[in-house]
Amino acid sequence: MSDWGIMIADTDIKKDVIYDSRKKKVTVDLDPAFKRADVITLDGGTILDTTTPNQSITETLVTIPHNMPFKPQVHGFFYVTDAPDAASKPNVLVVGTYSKTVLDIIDNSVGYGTEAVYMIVTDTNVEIHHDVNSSTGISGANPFHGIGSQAKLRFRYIVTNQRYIGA
Amino acid sequence: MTNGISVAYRGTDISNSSDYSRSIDSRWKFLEVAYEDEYILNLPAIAPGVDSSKGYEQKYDIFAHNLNLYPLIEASVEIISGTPASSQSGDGKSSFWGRTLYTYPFVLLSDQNTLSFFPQYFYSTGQNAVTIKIKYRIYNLDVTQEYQAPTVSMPNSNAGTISTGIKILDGTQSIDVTAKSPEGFSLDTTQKTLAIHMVHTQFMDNTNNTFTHTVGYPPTYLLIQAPSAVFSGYATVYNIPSRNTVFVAPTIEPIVRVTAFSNTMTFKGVQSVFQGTYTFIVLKDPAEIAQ
Repeated sequence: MSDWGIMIADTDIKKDVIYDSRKKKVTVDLDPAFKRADVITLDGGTILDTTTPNQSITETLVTIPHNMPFKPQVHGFFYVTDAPDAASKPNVLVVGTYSKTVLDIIDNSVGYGTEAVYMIVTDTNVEIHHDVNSSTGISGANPFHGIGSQAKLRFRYIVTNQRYIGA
Repeated sequence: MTNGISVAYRGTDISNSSDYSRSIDSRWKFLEVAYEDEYILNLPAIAPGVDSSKGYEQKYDIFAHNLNLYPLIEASVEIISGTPASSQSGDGKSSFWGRTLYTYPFVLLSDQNTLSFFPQYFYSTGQNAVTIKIKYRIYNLDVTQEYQAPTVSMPNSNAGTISTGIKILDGTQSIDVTAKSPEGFSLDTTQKTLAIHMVHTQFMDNTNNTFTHTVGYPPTYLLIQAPSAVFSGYATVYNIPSRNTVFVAPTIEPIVRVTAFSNTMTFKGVQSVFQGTYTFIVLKDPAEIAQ
């Protein structure tokens, strides 16, 4: 721990410290030039159709440079504002759903597949990916149809000063 | 305020600043890091037919934090070698931690002094050996203690652009005080420190549940699953007594609908299976995406 900082005590610095700047705090730089805390609007991307069972298709929807000198810990929150065709799909997302890091658009329906958007953090960027996966045990052509852009989303993120350990 | 110190975010008049436009205020709690590290855990093979409790009921102690409180924890698990229980393979995206957590349900729990790993479905009878890396960050925050900070909300408050404030080097980086760096300062009020407005635990079901936070704006929040009741679906089946007094790290993303208003928060599990007890960490940080 550093020897430089500020300590504030309630009555006695030796026994009831209420603030010690030497202990690491989670901070975020609000300088608008870096956009390290923001809300963006997006949709679920391309309407992806798998062609075989046990197939995975992935695309990158959004890339946000974090401009940090290391891979940072990021808090990302998805929120579903609309999914007009959702009712025709099994196990599909619900308008108003809040989800941290991963949003399951279609949630592992047995014999069908999954569709999700999720945040990942790289050494340089915060990225939102979209993928569909058809189930292993199903057969026939075009076994899984995603809803992609029909899902309307908001995403709020906070790039913190902490190093990445996952969410 | 009678004792302590407040520093407004750069360019903001302290006498006309709301709480979200202050960098520090010694009356508040912050997301203060107590410990962070990683741990390699070798889970031995379990021969077929061996007592299945060797898998999902086993408890592995990871780290003795000795904070004497139930801390807020961030954690992730990466599979280094081996393949966890195939019956839970789901979509098979074992290489991506977020999906891995969803695919292989396990729990990281802490009592008042020790962080522990429960393999749960992750690892069961007939399982080959698995090696995992657990990364964790433990905060000086007791999530079982209800807490609410004073609210300061000024109608004309905003964040200015003048770079004034306090910066103190901590000597760990080769930088000077003019540097703009996320590391190397024990105090840097040009950065916003995420202050905690409220810690609140409440049972959630699939109806509209509400609590009052009175922060005065729709806030940002963290949401974690709190005691074992949240695992009622599992605990009913497996009845693991040691989970009755511990808290869980936010390793599984809860499917919860949360709507934040200026003075209240409304939340519900989107399916009845997600009912349970949740702890909200409400931050002094506006802009809630549900609005």
